[in-house]
Amino acid sequence: MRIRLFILFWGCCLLILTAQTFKGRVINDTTKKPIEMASVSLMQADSLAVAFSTTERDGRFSTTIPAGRKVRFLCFTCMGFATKWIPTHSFVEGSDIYLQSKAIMIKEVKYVSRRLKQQGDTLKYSVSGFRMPQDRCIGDVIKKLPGIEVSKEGLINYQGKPINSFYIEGLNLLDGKYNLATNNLSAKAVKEVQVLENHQKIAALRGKSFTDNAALNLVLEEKAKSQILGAMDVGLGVEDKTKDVLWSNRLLGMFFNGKMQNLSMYKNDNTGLDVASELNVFTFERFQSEGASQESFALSPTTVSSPNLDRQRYYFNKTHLFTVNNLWKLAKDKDVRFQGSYLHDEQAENGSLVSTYFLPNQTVTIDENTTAAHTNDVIDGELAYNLNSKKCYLKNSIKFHGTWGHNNGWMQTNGNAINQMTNLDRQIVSNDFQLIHNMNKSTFRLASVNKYSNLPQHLTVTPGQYSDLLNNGNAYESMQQYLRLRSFFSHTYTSFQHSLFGMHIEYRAGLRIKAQSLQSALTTSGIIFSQAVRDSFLNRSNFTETDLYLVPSISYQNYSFKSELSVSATLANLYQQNRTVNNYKGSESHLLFEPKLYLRYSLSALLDIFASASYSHGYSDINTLYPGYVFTDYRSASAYGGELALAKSANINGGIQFRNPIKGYFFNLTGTYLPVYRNMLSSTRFNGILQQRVNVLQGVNSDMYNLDAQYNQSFSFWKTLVKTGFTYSSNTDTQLWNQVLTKYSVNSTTASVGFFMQPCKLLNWEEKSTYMTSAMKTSEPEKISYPSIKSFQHKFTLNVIPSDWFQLQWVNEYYHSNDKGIDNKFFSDVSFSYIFGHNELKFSANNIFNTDAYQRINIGSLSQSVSTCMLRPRQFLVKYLFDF
Amino acid sequence: MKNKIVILLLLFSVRLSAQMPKDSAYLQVTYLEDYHQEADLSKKIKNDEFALYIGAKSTIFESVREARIKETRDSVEARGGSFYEMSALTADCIRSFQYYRIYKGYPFDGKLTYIDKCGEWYKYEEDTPKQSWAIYPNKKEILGYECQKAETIFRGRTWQVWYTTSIPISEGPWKLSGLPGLILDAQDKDSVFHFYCVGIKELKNKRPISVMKGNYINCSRQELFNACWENANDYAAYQKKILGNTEVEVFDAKGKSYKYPSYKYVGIETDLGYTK
Repeated sequence: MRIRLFILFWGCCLLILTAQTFKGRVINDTTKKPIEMASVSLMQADSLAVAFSTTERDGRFSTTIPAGRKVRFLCFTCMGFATKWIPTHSFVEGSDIYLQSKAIMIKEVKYVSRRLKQQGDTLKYSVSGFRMPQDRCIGDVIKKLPGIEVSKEGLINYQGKPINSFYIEGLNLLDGKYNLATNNLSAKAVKEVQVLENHQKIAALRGKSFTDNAALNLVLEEKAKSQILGAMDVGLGVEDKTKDVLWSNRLLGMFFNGKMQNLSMYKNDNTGLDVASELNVFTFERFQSEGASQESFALSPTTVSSPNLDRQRYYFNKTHLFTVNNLWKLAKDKDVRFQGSYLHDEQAENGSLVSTYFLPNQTVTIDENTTAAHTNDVIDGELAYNLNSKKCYLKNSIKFHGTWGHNNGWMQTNGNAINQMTNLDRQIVSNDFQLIHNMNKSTFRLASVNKYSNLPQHLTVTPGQYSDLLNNGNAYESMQQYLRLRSFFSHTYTSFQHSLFGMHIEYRAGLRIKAQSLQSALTTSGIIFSQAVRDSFLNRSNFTETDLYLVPSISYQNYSFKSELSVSATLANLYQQNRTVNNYKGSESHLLFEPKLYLRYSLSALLDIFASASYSHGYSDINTLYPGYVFTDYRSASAYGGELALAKSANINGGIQFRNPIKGYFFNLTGTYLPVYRNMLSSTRFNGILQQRVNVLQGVNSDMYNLDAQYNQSFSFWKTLVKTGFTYSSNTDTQLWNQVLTKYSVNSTTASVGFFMQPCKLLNWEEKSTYMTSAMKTSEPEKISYPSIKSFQHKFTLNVIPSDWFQLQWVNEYYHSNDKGIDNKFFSDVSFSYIFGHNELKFSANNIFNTDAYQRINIGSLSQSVSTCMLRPRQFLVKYLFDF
Repeated sequence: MKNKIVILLLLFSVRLSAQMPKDSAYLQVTYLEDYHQEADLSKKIKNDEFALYIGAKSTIFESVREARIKETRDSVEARGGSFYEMSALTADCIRSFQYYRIYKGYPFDGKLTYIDKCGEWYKYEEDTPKQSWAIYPNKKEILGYECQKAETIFRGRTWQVWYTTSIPISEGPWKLSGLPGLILDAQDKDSVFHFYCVGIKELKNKRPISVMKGNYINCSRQELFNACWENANDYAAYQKKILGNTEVEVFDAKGKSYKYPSYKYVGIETDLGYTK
C-alpha cells in the first residue's frame, strides 16, 4: 500500500513538472490596456522556441512546456512593441507583463520582379489544345470550341456575335470567305486554334476603338509550313430510283509560309452538297456594310418554295467550283491579296404550290405545279492592298463580281401550261478605300466605298398572258419583260475620336450618294401591243439620294456598366426623274435625327439587364418608285406612283440574363417592340391570277412584338444537357386588298426542347423537338379568325464510336402537323467511316425510306400556302479521302 | 413604375453598402512559389511570384504577376481602351494563371475571403482557419533572419515552415498563419507547393485592403473546388456548363469524338473530394 502511494505521489509530481503552464496577461505599458495577438514563446537556453501561444482579446495567455523540454526564458513579442525576455525562474504566475511601444525596424530585403517575355504566351485568349489530329477539316474542330456556334451556312459566332476576322498564321488570306479554310484545311495541319477576344483588326485603332467581336487565328504545325499540302477525294454513288451516277470529288492544294499563302481548289458534286456556300462572305464589313447593300433583282425566276430541311435533301445539282486565293506578304505590316473563283451550278427543282389569298370580298386560290431548271455562272475576283501598322492603316480593295443566271420554268397554273424563262445577270465593280492615321492622342480616318452595279434582266412568258388586258382579248405568242437596273453607290466619311473623363467620344461626318436608273419595257412576239399598253409598261426613271450626315457618339464602360449614345443628324436630298409619258422631275430635302441608346448593367456576377432604343427613317429607292408596270413574274405586276415612301421606325429592346454556372442553369428573356409608321399603303389587287401591286399615299401604322426566352440546364448524370426555348411574335399591319382597307395580324409561337446524353465514351445521342404554331386574323373590315397551323419537328441522332478507326452515325427526322391533309414525313440516314492512316473510306446511305416529297404550310400576309417539294430519293455513296 | 424604380435603387444601394474595412497594408512580403499544377510530379515545375500585404488587422495574398496584368487591364478599360491596348501593355508580363487572392481578416476580424477565377470569378468566405503548429528545434538563416522550423497538418497537407520571431507578425503565405513570427519559407511534405520569401519592404504609400472590384459568383469552398475539378477533368463540359452552351459535339468525317486535354486536378487543399 505504501509503495503504491509513493508511486502515485511521484507520478503526480512528475506530471506537474513536465506539464508546467505559464499564465499571465500582456499589457500595453503606455495605455495600460491588454494587448491582443501578442506571441508568448517558451525559449530554450539556445534561444530556440519549444512552444508558444498568443494572447486573447483580454491580453491573457497560457503556455505549457511540452513534456521532456527545458525552458529558460519566456519571450513576449508583438508588432509595434519592444520584445521582452523574462527568465522562467523570475516569472510570477498570473502576473501582468508590460510591453513598451517601439517601432520595430524591419530589415528590408530588396527584390526586383522579373518581367521577362514568356515564350509562347499569346497576347490573346489562347485556346490551345483544341486540335483534333484525326479531324478531316479544321471546321469540325471549330464547331466544338466552347462559346462558338457555327451556322448551317458556315458563319462562325463567338459568344453570339459573328467573328470579324479569320486568320491563318496571323494573315488574312481568305477575308470573309473563310468557309474555304474551315471546310478544306486539314485539322492535322493545324497546331492550335486561337480565339482573339475583342479583336480590333486595325492596329492603328487598338486602344482607341472598342469592339466586342472576336477573331479566329489558326496556328499551323511546323511541318505544314513551307511545303505543299494537298487533299484528294473521290466519291462515287448511285441514286436508287433513277440509277443516275453520283459523283463528289475534290482536288486541293495549299501553301503557307511567312512570305506567301495560297489555297487553290477544284471541287465538283452532284450529291446535293452545297458547294457554292464555300464562297459565302462572312466578314464583319458585310454586317456593317456602310449602306452599300447589294442591289436585288426586280424580276423573279421560277422556283419551288424551299422546305425547312437540310438543303442536301432537296438540292438536285451539278456543281463545279474552282478557286484560287493568294497572299503575298511584302513587309512586316504590308500585304497584297488576290482571290478569284469560278462557279458553275446547274439545279433542277420540282414541286407544287397552292396559294390561298383571303381577300375582303373574295378568296383567290392559285394552284401551280412547277418544274424549273437553273444555270448559274459566277465569277468573283478581288485584289487588295493592306498596310496595317500602329501608326497608319491603309487598305484598298478592287472587286469584281459577275453572275449570269438562266432559268427555265414550266408551270401548270390552275390547269394552264405556261413556260417562263428568265435571264438575270449582275455585274458589280467596287472599290473600298480606308485610311486611318494616328496623330499623337487623336485618330484621323477617311474611308470611301464606291460601287457600280449593272443588272440586266429579261423575262419571257409563253404563251402570252392576260390578252384581255393587253391585247383586246386576242391570244398572242409570248410576252417579254425587259428591265435594266444600274446603280452607283458612294459613301465617303471621316471620323475623329478622343477620350474625355474616361469616356470615349467619336465624331463621324460623311457623304452618302445612291444614284439609280431603271429602264423597262414590255415587248411581244408576233404582234405589237397598242401604244397605250406599251406606255403603261414603260419606265425610264432616275433616282438619287444624297445624305450629308454628322454622328457624334459617346460611350462609357466599367466592370459592371456599359453605355453608348449616338445621335445622327442627316440632311437628305432625294431627287427623282421619270422620262416617259408621265414626265416628272422633282426633289425634296429633309433634316433627320436618329438617336440610338444602349445600356447594360451587371447587377451581380449572375444577373445582367440590358436595354436599347433607337429611332430611324428609311426612304424608298427606285425599286419602289417606278411608275410604269413591270411584270416581276408571269403572274405579278408592280407599279409605283413616283411618290416617295417614307418609313419611320423605333426599335425598343430590353432583356434580362441570369446564369448560375455552379448550378449549371441559364435563363434569358428578351423583349422587342417595333412600331413603324409608313406614309404609303401597299395595295394589292387580283385580276384572275394576276396580282397587281401599287402604292397608295396614305399613312399607316404597324406594330411588331417579339418575346424570346431560353432556359438551359446541365446535369452530371450521363453529361445530360437540356435546352428549352420559347418565342412569341405578333405582327399587326394594314394593306389595301382589292381596294378594301384590311387590318390583319399574324401571331406565331415556337417552343422547343432538346437534350444530349452521353452515358459512356462509346455512345451518345441527341434529340430535339420543336413545336410551331401560327394564326392569322383580320380586324378590319371584319373580324375573321383563320384556322391556326400547328406543326412538329423531331430529330434524333445516335453516334456509336466503338474504336478510333470506326464510327457509325444514324440520323432520324420526323415531321407532322395538325392538318390531316399533310402527310407525316420520316427521314433516316446512316453512315459508316473506316479510317486508316491518311486514308478514309466512308459509306453513306441517305433517305433510306425513300421519302420522295415534303409538304409545308405557311401563313403570310392574308395568305396561306401549301408547298410541296420533291426530294432527293434514296442514294448510296462511297467516298475515298486522302490527304498529304 | 414607382415600385420598379424603388427596387432598382435598393439594388444599387446594396452594392454601395458592401462592408469595407478601412485597413491598409504597411508591409509587403514577396514570395516565389514553385508548384506543380498536375498530379504527375515528373511534369515541369511551375513558378509564380506572390505578395503578402500586411495591415494592422488584415492581409492580402495575391499573385503579383496576375495582379499586375489585372490592374493594367482595369486601368486601360477605365479610360475606354480596348482589349488590344491592354494586351499590348501586358504582353511582356510573365503569366501564371493563378488568379486566387486571399484576404485574411476580411470582411471583418476572424473571417477570410477567398476569390479565384475558373472561367468565372468566384468568391467564398470562411472563418479564418487556425493551424495547430508543432515547433522543432531546427534553426536556419533566411535572408539574414534567424528562423525556426515548425510543422502543421492543414486541410490534407503537411506543411513544414520556417518562421522568424524577428518579424513578430503571425502571418505567412497562402492561408498559413498563427506562429509567433512571419513565415519566410513554407513547403508541403510532398513538395507540390513551395513558397519562399525573396523580398520584404515597408510600403511608403500604404495600400488599402479591400476586395478588388468585380462581379463575383458567391459560392462555398466545396463549390469552387468542384468548379476547378470539372475544369481540369473535362474542360469542354465545364465550358459548356458555364457558358450555357448545350451545343452537342459534332463528329467529323473520321468519326471520332474530340478529346479535350484533361489532367488530374491538384488542389492546394486536399481535404475535399469532388461531389456531384
